[in-house]
Parts: sequence; structure tokens; C-alpha cells
Amino acid sequence: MKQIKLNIEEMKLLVSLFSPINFSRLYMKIEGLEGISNSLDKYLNNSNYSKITKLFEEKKVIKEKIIKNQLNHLTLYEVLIKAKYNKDEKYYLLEIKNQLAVLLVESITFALKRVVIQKEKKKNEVDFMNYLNNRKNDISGFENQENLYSSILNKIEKEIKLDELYKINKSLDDKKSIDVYSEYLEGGDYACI
Amino acid sequence: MRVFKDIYNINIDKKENSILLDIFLNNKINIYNNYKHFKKDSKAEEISRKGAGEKLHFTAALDLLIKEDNVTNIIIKKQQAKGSILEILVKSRSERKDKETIKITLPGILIYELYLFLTENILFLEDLIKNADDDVASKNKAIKNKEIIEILKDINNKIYKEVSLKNLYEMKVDYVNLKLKEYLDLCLQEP
Repeated sequence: MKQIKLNIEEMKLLVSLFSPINFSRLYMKIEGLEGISNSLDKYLNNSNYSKITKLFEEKKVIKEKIIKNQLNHLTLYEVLIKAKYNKDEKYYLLEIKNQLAVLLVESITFALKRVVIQKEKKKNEVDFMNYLNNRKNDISGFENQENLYSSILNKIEKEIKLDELYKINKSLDDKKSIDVYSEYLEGGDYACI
Repeated sequence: MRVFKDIYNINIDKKENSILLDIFLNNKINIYNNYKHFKKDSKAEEISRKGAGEKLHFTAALDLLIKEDNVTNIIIKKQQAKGSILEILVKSRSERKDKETIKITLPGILIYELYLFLTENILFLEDLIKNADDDVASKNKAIKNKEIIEILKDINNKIYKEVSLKNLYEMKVDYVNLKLKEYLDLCLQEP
């Protein structure tokens, strides 16, 4: 179990990162699934079994990835809303199981990457009005997020040991089947596997 | 489809809200049970299939592939629905911290999922009570579960009142025909 103290701004950012209403980001590949379904109809008609198996396998891989991502986000969201707020010192105390802390690190690293890309894009965007008025694009929002994510990562870094990170990552990769994976996330604290 | 897009309001009190949150956060009814059953079934199927003719082999194997595809669809749907409802419950509570009644606003699809979820939990708890052991601790637990069942039934009644039986029935029929993408879009709409 890890304990991490987060300030209000950091907490707000994390809640919005894992908020289920924003899960649409996880569903980008669903359109691809529909394409596969259409091809499937074609092969089902002429009983091309090897092709059918291959297409179902493709679907399965995409869906399992979606399910695991959903589950990671959902579980982390639950951890966040259970965090206790210390009124006097104005911080949230996040109590998080080791395997979930590793997932948190992974998600924040990806989010940080996205923010940096968005920031660079915004910086380089040539906005006509800005150009006329010799103004620069406002990237302060992205910079703020970048700083907050980095500061959260620093806090978790102090708590997680490198070999622990490696072990948990390996276990997460090994849990291929959805039910086994969900049990691993739900299960006790896996500090010394 | 219309019934899933419509927005419904339900007023619940603080106690009902905490019970709901508690059940959602510590859910005993596992979303992945279907998947586990599927895995068991498919193993049995594989054993019985040995020695069967080529034609049978193909249809049986195809049947399994389609089943697995459906089971994974259900997991994706249920996980999104669970997350969306949870978020709405948390937000509604924090918006009305000082008030006794909490208004929750849900689109049709989520109110239907909430109704399914409550009903499944009621059945699950009733089953627990029926099979409870005869010692003091189990009896106390059964009494507590009975109280929870009553609260869940009250919330379910509020849903009936708001949605009407006719709409609920329409939802039941449309629910099975919802495609994955349609379903997710419905869950992700801002109420």
C-alpha cells in the first residue's frame, strides 16, 4: 500500500483524467471493430473458417485492450473518490495498492506525453488574428497541467522501488485473461510477489 | 432509442446515496462472471467436440467465437455504465453537500442499467439471507442485508414512478438490439 499526498489542483486534474464521462478516448478503435464485423459477414457466407477465426481473433485483441484500459481507469477513479481530505493541511491522502500505483504511473506518463504534444501543437499553430496583433498563443493551461502531472509523478517516484515497478509490470503483462486481470487488480497488496 | 436518450430525475436522500455508492464501490456481483462461465463452457465444448464430424466442428467452433464476442461486448458496456453512474452519484452528492435530498439526473440508458443493477443486487442479497448460517453473526448480517434490500427497493420504486412501466418495457426490448458504439455514445452523453 502506498500513501500519496495530493493538493487540490493535482487531485482535480487526476479526477478529470480518470473520469468515466471522458472514457471516449479509450474507444477510438471501436470504429475499426465495425469494419471487421462487415468483413466477417462476407466470410461467414462462404464458410471460410480460417479467415473467420482470424477476424474474430483481431476483434478479441482490440476488445481485451479496451476492457483492460476501462478497468484501469475505473479502478483508479474509485481510488481517487475514496481519498480522504485533510481540512487543516489542505491535502488529499491517496491510499493506493501497489499494483494500482504502477498503473497510475503509466496513465500519468501517457497523459503527460499527450499534454506536451498538445502544447507544442498549440505553440506552433499560426492563428491569423494572433499573427496580425503580434500575439503568442496562450499555452499556460497546458503548462500548468504539465507541471501538475510531473509533480504527481515525483511524489509517486519516491514511494515506488524500481524492482517493485518491474515485478508488477511483469505480472500485469502476464495476466492475459480478463477475469484473471480483474482479480489481480482487486486483490490484496502485491508488494512481494 | 428515444427512451434511452430521454433524461430522468430521481430524488434520493443521503442515506440512499451512501448505500448506492457503497454497493457500487464494493460490488459483489462480478461483471466478469459471464466471462468465467464462458471459459468453462468452451472447455467442456472442446472436449465433447473431439471426434465429431467436420461440419459439426465448424458450427460449434463458430458458435463459441460468437459467444465470446458477445461476452466481451457486455463487459465493455457494463464497465462504462458502472463508471458513468458512479460519477453521476459522486458529483450529485458533492453538489448538494448541505441538502438532505440529492437529485440525480440520468439518461435513459443509465437509469435502465441502474434498475438492472439494483434488481440484481436485491436478488443477490435475498439469496444470501436465504442461505445464511444459523449463528448470531450471520443473523445480524442478515438483518442488515434486509435493511439494505428495503432501501434498494425504495429506490427502484422511484425509478418505476419516474420512468413508467411502459417505457421500462420499451427499454427492455430495445436494450438487446443496441450496438456497442450506440450504447457507449448513450452512456457518454452529458445529462
